[in-house]
Amino acid sequence: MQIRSVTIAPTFAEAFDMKATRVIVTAADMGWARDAAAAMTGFGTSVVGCGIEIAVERELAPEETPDHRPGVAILAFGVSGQSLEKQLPLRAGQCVLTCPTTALFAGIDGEKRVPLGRTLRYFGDGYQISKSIGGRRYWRVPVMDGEFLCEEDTARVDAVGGGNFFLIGESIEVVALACRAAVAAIRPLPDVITPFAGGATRSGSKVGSKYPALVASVNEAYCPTLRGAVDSGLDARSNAVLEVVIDGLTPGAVAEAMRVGIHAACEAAGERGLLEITAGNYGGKLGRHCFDLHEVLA
Amino acid sequence: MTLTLRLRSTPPTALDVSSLTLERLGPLSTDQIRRLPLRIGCQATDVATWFDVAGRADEKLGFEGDCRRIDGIGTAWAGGELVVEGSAGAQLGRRMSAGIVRVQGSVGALAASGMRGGVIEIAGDAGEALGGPLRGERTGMRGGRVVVQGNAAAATGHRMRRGTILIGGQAGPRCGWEMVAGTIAAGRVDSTDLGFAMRRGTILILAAAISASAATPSAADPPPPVRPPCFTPPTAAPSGFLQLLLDDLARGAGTETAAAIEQRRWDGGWLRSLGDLSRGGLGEVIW
Repeated sequence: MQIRSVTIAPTFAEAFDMKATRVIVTAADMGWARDAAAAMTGFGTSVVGCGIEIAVERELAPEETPDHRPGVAILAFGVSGQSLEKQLPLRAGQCVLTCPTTALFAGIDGEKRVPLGRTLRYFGDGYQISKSIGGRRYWRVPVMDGEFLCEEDTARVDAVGGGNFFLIGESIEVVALACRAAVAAIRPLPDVITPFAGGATRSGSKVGSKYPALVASVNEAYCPTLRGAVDSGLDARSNAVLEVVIDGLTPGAVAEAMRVGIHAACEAAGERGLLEITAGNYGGKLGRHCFDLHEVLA
Repeated sequence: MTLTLRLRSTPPTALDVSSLTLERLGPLSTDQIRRLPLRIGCQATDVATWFDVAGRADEKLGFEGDCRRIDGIGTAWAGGELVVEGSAGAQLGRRMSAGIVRVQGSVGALAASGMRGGVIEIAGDAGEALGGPLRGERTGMRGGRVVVQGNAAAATGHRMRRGTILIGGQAGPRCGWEMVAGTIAAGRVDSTDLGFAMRRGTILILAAAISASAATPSAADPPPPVRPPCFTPPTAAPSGFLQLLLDDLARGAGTETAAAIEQRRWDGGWLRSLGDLSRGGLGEVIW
C-alpha cells in the first residue's frame, strides 16, 4: 500500500490494556487552566518511568464545564488502577490545588473510582466543606485566593495504550514535518492523547535489555546509526525515524487516530522524503490489541 | 394504575394515615383497603369511614379533598408517585426514601421530617420545621429534595443533616436552626435567628433578607442577614461552587423560581458569612 508515494508497511501496531481516567481543570481564565494542565501533565510521557501517561485531551469552552468557566480536559493512562490512584491525587495536589483560581472535576463516568478531593481535602485542616450537589460530592478547601473546589473522585475505565506508527524518512527535517502534521491532526480527536513531548518519541523502545535492571531499551532495528551493525529495519535512504504513540479510551479511538495521523503525515511529507510508515509490535505476543496498518487505513 | 382516596368529610381532629404506604396497599383489593384500620385520636376507625376508595395502587396513590387534617401522607414513601390534589396535614413524606410526592396545595408542620431520598414538590406553603426532626429525634432531613413554591414557616431545616430544600418564596424565622449539613435556598428569608446554632451546611438567599418587622425587603441597602459576632463579617462568596449549586437548584425548580435563580446568577455580588461561631460552627449563609 502506498499513500502519496509513502509505503505503508504490511504490519501492525501492538497495544496494551490500560486503565484510564479523565479530569477537567477549570479556572478563571484559560491561561490559568492551561498553566495548571501543563503542570499536571508534566513528566507524564511513559509508564516506564513516569508512573502514568497523561496529556491534555482538549480545551473546553465555559459552556462545556461544570462551573461555566474555561477549562481543559486531561486524559491519564496507567498500567493499573493502583497507578492512577497513586499518581492522580499527587499531581492534582501539587499542580492544580496550587494553581490560582482552579477547580478540578471528574470528566468520565464509571463504577471504579480514583480519588481526587477525597485525598486533597485534608489540606483544609478541618476548614474544608463537603457538599453533595446533584448526586456528586465535592470538597471545598479554603485557599489564599478563595476556595479550591474539587470533586470527590473520578472514574476509571478500561482503555488502550501504546497504539503507534513509525515515520521513516530521508532526513530528520522531513520526518519532523510529517510528525508535526500527524500530531496536529490527531490532537482535535476525542478520547485520545499523544503523551510524548510534541506527540512523538525518538527513543522508541523494545521490551527488555541486556541490563537486567531495565524493562525497556533502545529499539536498535530503527536506529539509523546502527544500520549494518544490527538486523536493521531501515534501508540505505532512511536516516531518521520518529514514533507517534497514541493512548485511547477505546480501540476504535486509537485506530481512528492512527488513520488520521498517517494520512496527515503522508499529505504533509509524501513525495518530499517521507519514505515509509510502519509500526511497532512484539509479534502479537505481549499486547491484546493489534492495529493492522492496512486495515486501519482501509 | 392509580389508587384514589377521596376524603368524604373533614375529620374533627388530625387523622393519621402514615400506615397507608404504596407497598402495603399494592397487594390489597379495594375492599381490603376500605377495611384497613385508621386511628383518629383514641378512636379506632377504618379507611372507609373517611375515604371513598377507587382504583388500584400499582404505581400511583392520590389523595383528593381538603386533607389539611390528614397527617402522615407519604410516610416511608419508597417509590412511585403520590399526588395530593389539595393541601395536606403534618408530617408529609416523613422518612421518605425514594419516589416523588406532589402536593397541589400547602402542607402542615414537619413535612419531610426524617426524609432520606426522593423528591417532594409543594405548590403552596410549608408549615413549621420543614425537614426538621420530631421531638426527641437528633436529626431532621437526611437526604432528598424538597421544593416549595410558596413560603415556609419557622424553623425550616431544623437539625437538617443532608439534602436540599428550595423555597421559592420566603423562609420564616430560625431558618437553618441547628443545621448540621445540607442546603437550604430561599427567595427571601426572615433574618430572625437565621442560622442560629448551625454547625455546617449552606443557606442561600436568592433575593434578599428581610427583618422580622419589615413587610418588604429594603432594596436600597439590605443589611447582612446574619449578625456578628456569631457570624463572620461578609466576604465574597466562592463563585465556582455557586455555579454548580445554582445549576442544581434550577433543575426541578418551578418556572418562576428558576427564573429568579438565573436572574440572580448573572446579577452576581454574592456575599458569605460563616457561623454560628458561638457553637463552633462553620456553616455558611450566602446572599
